[in-house]
Amino acid sequence: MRAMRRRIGAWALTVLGVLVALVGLAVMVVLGPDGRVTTGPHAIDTDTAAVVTAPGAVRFVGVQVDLLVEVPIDKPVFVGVGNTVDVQDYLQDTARVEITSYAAPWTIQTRDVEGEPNLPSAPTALDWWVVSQAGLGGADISLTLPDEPVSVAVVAVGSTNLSGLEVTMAYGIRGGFGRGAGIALLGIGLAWFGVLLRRRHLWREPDHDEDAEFVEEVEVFVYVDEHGVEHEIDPAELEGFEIVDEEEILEGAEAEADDGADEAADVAVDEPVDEPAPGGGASAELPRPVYVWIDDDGVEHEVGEDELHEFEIAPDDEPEDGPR
Amino acid sequence: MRPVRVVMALVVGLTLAACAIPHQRDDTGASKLAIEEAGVDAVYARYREVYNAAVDIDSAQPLSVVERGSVLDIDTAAFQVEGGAVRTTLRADEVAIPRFKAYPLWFMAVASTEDGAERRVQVFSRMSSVDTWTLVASPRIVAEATLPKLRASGDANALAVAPDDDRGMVLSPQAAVDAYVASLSALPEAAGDDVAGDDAFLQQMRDAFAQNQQLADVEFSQAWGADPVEHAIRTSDGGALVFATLHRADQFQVTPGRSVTYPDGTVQRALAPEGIVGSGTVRFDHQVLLLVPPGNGEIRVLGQFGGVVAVE
Repeated sequence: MRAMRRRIGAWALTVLGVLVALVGLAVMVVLGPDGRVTTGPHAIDTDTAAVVTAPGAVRFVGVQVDLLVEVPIDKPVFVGVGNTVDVQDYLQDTARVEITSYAAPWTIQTRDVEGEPNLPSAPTALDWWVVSQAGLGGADISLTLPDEPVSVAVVAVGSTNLSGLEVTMAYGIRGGFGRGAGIALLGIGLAWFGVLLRRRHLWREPDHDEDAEFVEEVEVFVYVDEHGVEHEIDPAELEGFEIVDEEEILEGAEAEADDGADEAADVAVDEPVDEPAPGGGASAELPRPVYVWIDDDGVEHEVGEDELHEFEIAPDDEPEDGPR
Repeated sequence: MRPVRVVMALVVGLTLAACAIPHQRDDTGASKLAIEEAGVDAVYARYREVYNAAVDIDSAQPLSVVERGSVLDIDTAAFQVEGGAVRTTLRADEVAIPRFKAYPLWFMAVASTEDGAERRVQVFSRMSSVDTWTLVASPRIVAEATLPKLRASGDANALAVAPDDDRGMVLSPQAAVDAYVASLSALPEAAGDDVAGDDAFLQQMRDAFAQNQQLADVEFSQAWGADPVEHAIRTSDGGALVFATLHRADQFQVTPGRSVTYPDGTVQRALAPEGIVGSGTVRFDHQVLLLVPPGNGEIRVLGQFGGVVAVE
């Protein structure tokens, strides 16, 4: 049951990863390498002194917007983005065109609002624009839409109007292509994670040794003959054999080796068994005896094994002052 | 590194990057902080520059650039007296900035001079998007006065209270000011059961009233009024700090052949060198900072700034 749940989760993660990766790829394709979409120029038919977005018309946050406004015969024009409270107060008494809704790439709804023909003050004299520019025949701004209600205003400077106004807009995400790639990588990562989960690589308990390699567990069936030699057999040939568990076969094998009994063939799951280190053995580790001769002054002199016949060998446990 | 760690690092990193993906705001209502806190210093710098320039040329004319309403009237009258206006070093120590849905915008600041001798609670207002910041209220408080904590609201560290909003208080800001004016207008012996506490300002005004009443050969009367409340701010305990402008008219009916005169160095003397002969009215403006406590507590004045604005 637990394994089933894990498998379902792994599949879900894989599918989710694929979908996220597709979204990332779609972002990359739509925005292109420069991360934005350009539209226009679009004409806005008006003879008023101002075109402004209505409150709520600009709702996106974090979108990179580049706006170019152009008017004919080098008329002075101003374009700015400000908090909606400021822009609405500034233009509330001025005849204007309000853009009441906008949909990408360029679908707008407008309404004409009557008012004074002139502005209450030159837009360039105001300090609250988030970003603005004035120019002759055209002006452009670039900004990332902030997390506050903003309005865009295009204003004729001086006694002119905005007849012949054309607007070109580019919008997108700063670093959008890279972000799309990031999302795609995220999806690929999730999908890969799901695949790893399905292959159960990640379900294993962590080893004590961090650097130890994973060893894939494989079931092997063996037959042990009368000489204690193991022969691997195919699982299809299991019929006719008695199946014993791992401990039995290990202990049984040792017993067979000890008493040489001829047992019937056993089949067991083969597991790695700790083997003694090569060359290891108690006899190999015994220290070489050292023979010494003690003279009358109690000084010890080492004696070789070939000289032993000249001496009487005394046991180690004799008193020190005794002969050795 | 094990695969699970690689994957987790990848997921976390890329998810954080994806957080910056553009989105639509849920809130379509327009609003803005009155001013960014960093901009307050610039407002004060400009105020000092203009005010000190006016002092330097001994003319109140430039003041209209940075002051408005009764603050401008009181300071303009002070310029009539030699040495009545001195250079200022006021700068904001604490700022309370509410969020507004429309103009006018305003913010409150507790300001003090460099030497700490003068401390004021001031309100700067911007009437429209094409106007500049002007000082509209400037009641003075004692240096050691402790103002109540203010209530924050979202990203704003202060919350404006509508003049008619009486939630949590015995009176709305406007009603509190009206009640205070009624206390000022009442004779001391008749003002026992009003909602105003017996604060220093009330006592000072009653003393002045009694002093004028004792003038020989003069029939004296006094009238009080108040401008509509425009600036009130919520305190953290549910009360409100209310800025009010009170108008006081001292009316004199002087017996023929007599006059009411004022000492040298006073604004009254500067505006009426011959004194009041026959009949006359001395008009005062008093800007007061009124504390309206939560519940049924007594309203009281925490600070005031006032003076003669006209002699008619």
